[in-house]
Amino acid sequence: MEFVIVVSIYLLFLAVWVFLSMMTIFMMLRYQGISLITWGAALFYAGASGIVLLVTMIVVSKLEVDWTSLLYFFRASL
Amino acid sequence: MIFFGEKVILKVRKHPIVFFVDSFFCFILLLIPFILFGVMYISGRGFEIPRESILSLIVVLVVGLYYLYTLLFLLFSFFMYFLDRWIVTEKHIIDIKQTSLFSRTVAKQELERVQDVTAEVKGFFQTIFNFGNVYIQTAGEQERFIFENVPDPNGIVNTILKVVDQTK
Repeated sequence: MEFVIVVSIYLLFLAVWVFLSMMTIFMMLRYQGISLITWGAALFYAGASGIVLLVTMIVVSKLEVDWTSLLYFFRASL
Repeated sequence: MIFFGEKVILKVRKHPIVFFVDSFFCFILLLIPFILFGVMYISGRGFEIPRESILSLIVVLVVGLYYLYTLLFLLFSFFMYFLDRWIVTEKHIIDIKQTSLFSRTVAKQELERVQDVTAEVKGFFQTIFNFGNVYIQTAGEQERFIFENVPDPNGIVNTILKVVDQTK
């Protein structure tokens, strides 16, 4: 059950982060239009965030965590 | 915002050093986990968390979120730097201020109403990198326009005064 809580909190924070990131990039494109700088900033941000997410996922996959409880929980909620 | 056919004389943003200071702060924030884990590694602690423990999962996810939010802070600093700007046309001064993600103020004043333009360069860094504030006193409702931390404030003052002279 603890795994479910930890992963759920992580997903919640991740969702807030995704929302704020999308909004920031959207507002930048809205007010400044499509330019080399806005695209550059957006691509740099997406790249850096992608690397962080990838590294997190790789490290998490190396952990010997019992994922079955999480799997059962999400299967049950579906 | 700008009338059709109106000629833009000047477009100014804050000096890049302002964004650089924020970036440097972010860079320090990005280094903190490395420093912490480095200290823990040298002292021989911290890597004793078993791989199957929930604590190891929490540490990995929290560090991941920490990096994501630090990157978001960097993007937001750029956003604030990039969208704050001042435009001088042959007839108007436009002050565009992004106060937060969903808050933006655009103030416009006719150049004819400009009464006084002052440049202020204060402190060590402003003097070295040649940036500072430009204060524009007008007769309008918003009595004072401030161009904050703009590069070459004296040059901007000269340009504005030249345009004001041509307008009057």
